[in-house]
Amino acid sequence: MTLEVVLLLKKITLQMMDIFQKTLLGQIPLRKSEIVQAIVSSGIETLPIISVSTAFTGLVVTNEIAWHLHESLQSVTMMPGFTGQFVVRELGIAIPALLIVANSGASTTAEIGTMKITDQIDALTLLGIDPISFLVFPRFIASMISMSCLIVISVFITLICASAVAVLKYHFTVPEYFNATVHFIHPKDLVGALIKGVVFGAVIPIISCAYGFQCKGGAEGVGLATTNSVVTSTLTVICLDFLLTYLFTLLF
Amino acid sequence: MSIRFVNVSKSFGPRKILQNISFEILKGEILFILGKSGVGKSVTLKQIVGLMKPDEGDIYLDGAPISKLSLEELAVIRSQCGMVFQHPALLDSLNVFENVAFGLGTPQYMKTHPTLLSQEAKKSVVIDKLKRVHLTDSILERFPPEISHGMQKRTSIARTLAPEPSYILFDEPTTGLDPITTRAITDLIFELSRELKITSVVVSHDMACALSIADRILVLDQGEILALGTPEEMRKSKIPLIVDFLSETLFQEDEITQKEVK
Repeated sequence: MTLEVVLLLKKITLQMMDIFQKTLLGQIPLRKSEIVQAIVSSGIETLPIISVSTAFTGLVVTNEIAWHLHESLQSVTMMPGFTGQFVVRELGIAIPALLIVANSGASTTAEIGTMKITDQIDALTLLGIDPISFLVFPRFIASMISMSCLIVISVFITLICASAVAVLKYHFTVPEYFNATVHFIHPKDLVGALIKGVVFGAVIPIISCAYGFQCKGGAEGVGLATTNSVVTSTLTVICLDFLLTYLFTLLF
Repeated sequence: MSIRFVNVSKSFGPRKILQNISFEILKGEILFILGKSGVGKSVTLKQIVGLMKPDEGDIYLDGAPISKLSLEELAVIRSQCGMVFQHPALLDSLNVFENVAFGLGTPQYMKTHPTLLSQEAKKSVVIDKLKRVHLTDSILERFPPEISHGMQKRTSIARTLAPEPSYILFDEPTTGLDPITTRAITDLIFELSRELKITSVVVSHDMACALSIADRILVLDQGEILALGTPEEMRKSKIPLIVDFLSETLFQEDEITQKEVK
């Protein structure tokens, strides 16, 4: 990551906070249609891949947890609790966040990068439109909303698949499994999941857009910017996940 | 009312692009900036509207020093300038109408035109500007990828014309176009400049176009002004680079003539 990108990340973050504050105070109108459009592209269009990925992840993780429990304790009665906690605190958040990075994050960088190298960003500036407000803010708001919703959906799907494994392979009844799961999942876990969702949702479009704005050269430049954006966003999500998890264990 | 470069220098890292250049663009004239690739033609153009800042010296637009202006002051200055980029630079998510009308509702436009235009009024302005660039209103609802590159260029010029600028900067407006469309765009630049009394600055490689419509031609080489003069003065020039440009033009003209004879 170059110094140029770091400075731009700082600039965009401060500008997003400023616009967010002004929008809340009613000084800037909320561009609802653009936000809805961005929710469709960053949230609804990524829903199928997130559903399939989290479903299979749920199946794999439940099997693994059950196998390890059985190997070490000769019992799988703790499986709903372990799975539930792991899904709500980590898996149901990290998987959609990383898929959003790979899907809408990459497409955002490529789109803005292409706009940059084809002079569209300069054209906006000359027409008196601030490209950061115009292009980033709707994506920023939409990504936070989409990410929170996707986390709820992915947690739900993962738990359904986990229960399917528990019921079909390990002979739990459905009420038995869900009662045990609910017993281990606390409201603070759900609040933590949503906070992580909002934070990841805010960070991903900022990084993706910053790399897009820094794009140089032709098609090769767009490709390089997209790769760098995905790598940086992925690392940032993983590091933030660790930091937030650590913070939540201290606070709750 | 003019654009004045005073001792402007610009470097990118160790590479010096412009070295201490000074010249003036007069009100209402068509000035062509010619030169080989990478000599700083586009950089010169972008500095006029503050998209790039000079390292040294300054550019004065109607007496205002561009690099010393605040963003608000720059916005006012920019409202008098339009720029046609090398790429059409149309927003792909907007149709032709929305693209051309884009500049009619911006805060910058509202500063100079306090009355908010109704949708009908905007449509009439858009159709008028499309007519100016020889396009019809049948493409209003079409998106940029659905029209030809030449039409995209014209739409881009119509968008630039919509806020009624006093200056238009053309950055290689004919690059990638066929000879017929190139001729049409060149004629359009001439028409607009003369009929609307717009000052036009055109960055180009095309000496033939420059000779046919320019009031003056500025030739840049190795970051410095090699020559500045009228087309007639250029034709008589003995400077090797200009002679090369001229011979290339004559070669192209010969080729066209031979094809016509065949």
